[in-house]
Amino acid sequence: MSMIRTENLCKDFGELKVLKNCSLSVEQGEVVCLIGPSGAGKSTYLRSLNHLETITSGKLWVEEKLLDDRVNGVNQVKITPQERQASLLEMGMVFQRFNLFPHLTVLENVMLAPITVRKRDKQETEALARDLLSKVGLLAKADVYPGKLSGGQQQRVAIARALAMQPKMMLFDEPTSALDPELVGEVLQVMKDLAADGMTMIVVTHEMGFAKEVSDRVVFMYDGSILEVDTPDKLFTNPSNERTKTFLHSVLNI
Amino acid sequence: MNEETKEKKSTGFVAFVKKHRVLLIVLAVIIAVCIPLVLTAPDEATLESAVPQEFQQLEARKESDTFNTIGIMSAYKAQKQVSAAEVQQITILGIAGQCIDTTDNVITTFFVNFVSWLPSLLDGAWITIALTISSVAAGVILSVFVALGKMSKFKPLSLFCRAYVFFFRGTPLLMQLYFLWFGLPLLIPALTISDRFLAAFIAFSLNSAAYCAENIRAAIESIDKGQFEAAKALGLSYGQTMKKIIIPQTYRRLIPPIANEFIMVLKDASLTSIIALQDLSKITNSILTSTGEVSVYIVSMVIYLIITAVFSKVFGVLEKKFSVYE
Repeated sequence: MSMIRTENLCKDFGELKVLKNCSLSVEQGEVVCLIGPSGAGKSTYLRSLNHLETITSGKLWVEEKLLDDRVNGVNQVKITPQERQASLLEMGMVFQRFNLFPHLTVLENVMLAPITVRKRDKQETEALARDLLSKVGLLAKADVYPGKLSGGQQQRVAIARALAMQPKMMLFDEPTSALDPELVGEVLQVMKDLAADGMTMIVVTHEMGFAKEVSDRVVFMYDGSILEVDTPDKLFTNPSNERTKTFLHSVLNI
Repeated sequence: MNEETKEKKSTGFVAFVKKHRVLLIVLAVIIAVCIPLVLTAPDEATLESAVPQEFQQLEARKESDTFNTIGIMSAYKAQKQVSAAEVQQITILGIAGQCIDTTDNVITTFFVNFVSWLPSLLDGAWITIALTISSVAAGVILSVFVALGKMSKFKPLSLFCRAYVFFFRGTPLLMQLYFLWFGLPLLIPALTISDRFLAAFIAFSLNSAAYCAENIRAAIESIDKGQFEAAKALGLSYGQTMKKIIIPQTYRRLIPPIANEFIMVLKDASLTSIIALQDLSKITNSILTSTGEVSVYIVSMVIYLIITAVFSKVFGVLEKKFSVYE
């Protein structure tokens, strides 16, 4: 069963076409990395999956449920906001700049959404939150404000916060790009653990090592289009597209 | 390490002065006023000779225990046919041991006046403070709705809120007060406001809401877009995002402009004298016109400064409290 599927997804910002007919299907338990030069539309693609960007045209399925079938920005699908919300909640999102809520402690950050949105019991949620925080190695920081944490620690809290909603898949938007080099490892480790647990993941990244090691498939995007989708072995060693070759050549310095 | 602590010690005093500078300035003003008063205080003989003869005679009878202070007061009042206030004034001075010759010393005159003005000035200050606090508080609450309305995607609402801010920021507060007190009863008799304080409160809170709404809108818009996105990705609705994420983060940013608004309103409150509300400015002016003593202005301004200093201090504490996470 595909967890998420897009067909001919297009996104325009006025005259500018940011996404051009992007079609991709991600299966359950799969880890897919999106790579490509900046401005290729990787982040925009990821953000349109959970409706942070409204697509101009194309179809979007979440767990085989058609959420969008847009033509010129108008949705042809009749769906209640509740149904749409329920599907969107299956996607957890991690941002480049963490976006933790600075006025809440680490624990409150993790607990907020399950209590407010899912109306979960407070004590159960706290147990879950502490469990998740120990998973990302930050249980000791539960009562600290995010401003007191390093970038790597903040990003790990952000991952725990997204996981607290118990989503079926996770979207990562350049999770390590805003980090100091020595802090990248700890975040990637948490993501590797998550992948090993069988979480479906879509990761926009510039970490080629991570893409090579963890992902099941790698997607190469260029100028708003998906040019190549393949296993990391094939894509990194023997890319079929000329653009992919040039890109890999420049990022891997080979 | 040692050097660091040294530096801390040497800057300790500077830091203290910086931290409490407003209070220190007020304190300095008060001391500057008091020192000449103390230095020029007349000696006991002068003081005693200043008290009216009759009063002294009555006072002497007190030693026989048949008269107490109230007895002296009423006897003196009956004998001289003076007002109760005058007797009270003499008594206050007597209790303080400060019956002062009021004829030939400017500073002692000032001191006597100061004591007699203070009760009514404090009454006025109380009205000023009450008006400021109540109308800014009401204004801030109202302004949250105006700000959210202005940012609303529902066109008629946002247009209404825009017009509201435009009107109340674009016309003089004095005119709004005039209209509410004098104009409205003529236009719609049913909307006559009979209480001066209430009229001032309404005008000031409506006006204050317009200014605060702009502050709140700016504060909300200054919050990082990522906060909205994170909240949306977690499934929070617009209302939940505002209530739990955005508005709590604006508190700290709002305190300086709201403190500013407070101090503005405190001083604008003097406009209420045109509807004859007995606020501090109105009372100051009444004292001036009845006594011709210009020095009442100094007393009144010092009272304003003290109120402002206290407000500043309170807002400083609030700002610290709301910035624990930064």
